[in-house]
Amino acid sequence: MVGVAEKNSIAHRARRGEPLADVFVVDAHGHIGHWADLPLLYADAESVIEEMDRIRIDWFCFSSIEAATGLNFTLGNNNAVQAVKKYPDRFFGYIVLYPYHPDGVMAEIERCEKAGLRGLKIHNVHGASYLAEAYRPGFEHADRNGWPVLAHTWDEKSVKEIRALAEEFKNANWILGHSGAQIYKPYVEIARACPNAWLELCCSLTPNRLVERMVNDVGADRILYGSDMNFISAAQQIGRVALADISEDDKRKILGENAKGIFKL
Amino acid sequence: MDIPLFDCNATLGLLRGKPAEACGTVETLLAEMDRLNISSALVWHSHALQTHPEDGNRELIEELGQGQGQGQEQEQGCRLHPVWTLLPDTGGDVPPLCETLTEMHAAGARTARIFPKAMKWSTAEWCSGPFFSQLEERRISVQIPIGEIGFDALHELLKAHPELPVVLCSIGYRENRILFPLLQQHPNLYLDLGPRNSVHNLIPYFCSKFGAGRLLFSTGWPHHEAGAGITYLMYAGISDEAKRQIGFENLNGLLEAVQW
Repeated sequence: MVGVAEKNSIAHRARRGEPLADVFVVDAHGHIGHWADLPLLYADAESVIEEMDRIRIDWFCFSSIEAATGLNFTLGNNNAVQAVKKYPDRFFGYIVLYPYHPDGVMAEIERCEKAGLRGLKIHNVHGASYLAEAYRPGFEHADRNGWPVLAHTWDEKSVKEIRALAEEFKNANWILGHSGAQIYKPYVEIARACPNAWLELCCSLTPNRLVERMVNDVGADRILYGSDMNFISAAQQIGRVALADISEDDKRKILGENAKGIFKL
Repeated sequence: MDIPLFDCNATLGLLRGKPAEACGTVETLLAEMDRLNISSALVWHSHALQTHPEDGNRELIEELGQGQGQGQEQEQGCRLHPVWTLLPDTGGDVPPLCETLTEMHAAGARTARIFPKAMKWSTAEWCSGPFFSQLEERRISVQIPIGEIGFDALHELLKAHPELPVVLCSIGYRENRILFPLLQQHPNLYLDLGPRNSVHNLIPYFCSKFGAGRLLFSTGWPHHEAGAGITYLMYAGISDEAKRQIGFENLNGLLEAVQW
C-alpha cells in the first residue's frame, strides 16, 4: 500500500491537505439546503464549491435537502435546478421523488429533466417503501435512460428493497447510500449479486477499517465515494478513502473512476 | 505542509458491544499512528470504564510500559500519553483524590477522564465540588463524553469551576444548538473534534466564533476511521497556523499547563 510518506501519493497529499489535482473525484451523495432538524451551518451551493475546490472534487452529485428530508419537493427540486444551472460543469442534480404526490411522480420527473436534472434520489423518511407502486413509473424511466438512482439505505429492509429493484430494473444504476454504516453483510450480498448496484460510503460515524473491509469483500470496482455534504463534511469523508490502507488504483476507482460511467461524466 | 498531530482520543482495550477486532493495543495504535504520521496520542483504557478505574488505570500503565519495552519505539514514552480515569471517593471505594493524584503524577498522566453517568455519581457541587476544585487548582483537564453528564450539569460544572479545562467528547452535530451557547459562555470548555461532529464547515465556523484555541484533533481510534479525522482538519478552510493549534498545540498546551 502507498502510505503518507510516499511523496505525491493520494495519502501524502491528503495528510497535508493538498488538493488531489490529478485524481478524478466525484462526490456521489451530496446535498444543498437546510433542515429544521439540525443546524446546517452553510446551506448554499457556494460553500460546497469552496470545499470542492479545496479538495479538488470535480463533480458533486446532489439533491436538495428541502426535498430529500424536508418533504418540500417542488421547492427543493427547484433549488437543485438553480444550482445545476449555476454550476453546470460541477453539479449533477438528482430529482427527489415523492410517492404520495396525487399526480404521481412522472410530472415532477419530466419538469425537472427538462430543467437539467438526470438522476433520481429516494428517501424513506416519509415511511413509504421503495417498492411502493407509485415509484414504478419513475424507476421505469430511470431504467429506460440508464439513470442513477440514489437511495437512502440504513437497515436490512431498505437494502432488501433496493436489491429487488436492482434485479428488476437492470439498466438503472442503483446507488446504496450510507453502505456499511449500520449493517454490513446485506451490502456485500447485493454488490455481489447485482452488477448495477453500487455501495456509496458516506456516514459520519463508521467502524474503523470499513473501507478496507469492503474493498476486500466486494472489490473497489463496486464502491463510490460520497460525502453527504452539506450535512457532513466532505473534507472529513474523503479521508476515509484517501487515507485508507488500500492501493492507489483502488482509491482512484472509489473516488471517481467508477462514477464516470454511472453519471456519464 | 506537514502539520504535527496530537490525537486527544484513542482507546486501549475492548469496549462493550464492539467487535473483537476493535480491541486497541499499543502495538496496533503505534502502527496506525506511523501509517498516518500522527505524532502523539492521549490514550485511556476501556477497563477503567467497564471494570473499575483503579484496574483500568493500572492496566493502562502496564500496557504502555510493555509497549515501551518492545524496543523499536524508543520515543514512545513521548508519543502515548495516559489519561487517568477518575472517580470521586464519595462511595468509599477509592482512595481520597489527593492520593490518586499522587499516583497519577507518578505515572506521568496529566489529564483525566470521568464517567459520572456510567459510574453513578453526580457532578453537582453538593456531591463533587471538592473533587473538581482539586483538579481545578492543578489545572488538570477533564475529558467528559456528553452522554455522561448532560448539558445542564455541564453548564453548572463549568460555571462553578471556571479554571477547570473541560474537554467535551462524543458530541454530535445534532446538538450544536445547545453546544454553541455553552462555548460562548465558558472559555474553559474545549471540544474533542471527533467524527460525531463532522458537519460541513464546522471547523471554520467554530474558529470564527470561538477561536482556534479550543478545538482538539481527534480520531476516535480504534472505533472509527482515523483518516477521516485527519482530512477533516487538513482540508478545513482555515489558516495553517489554526490547523497547527488544533492539530497539536492546544492539547499540548493543556498538558503543559498542569501545576502539580
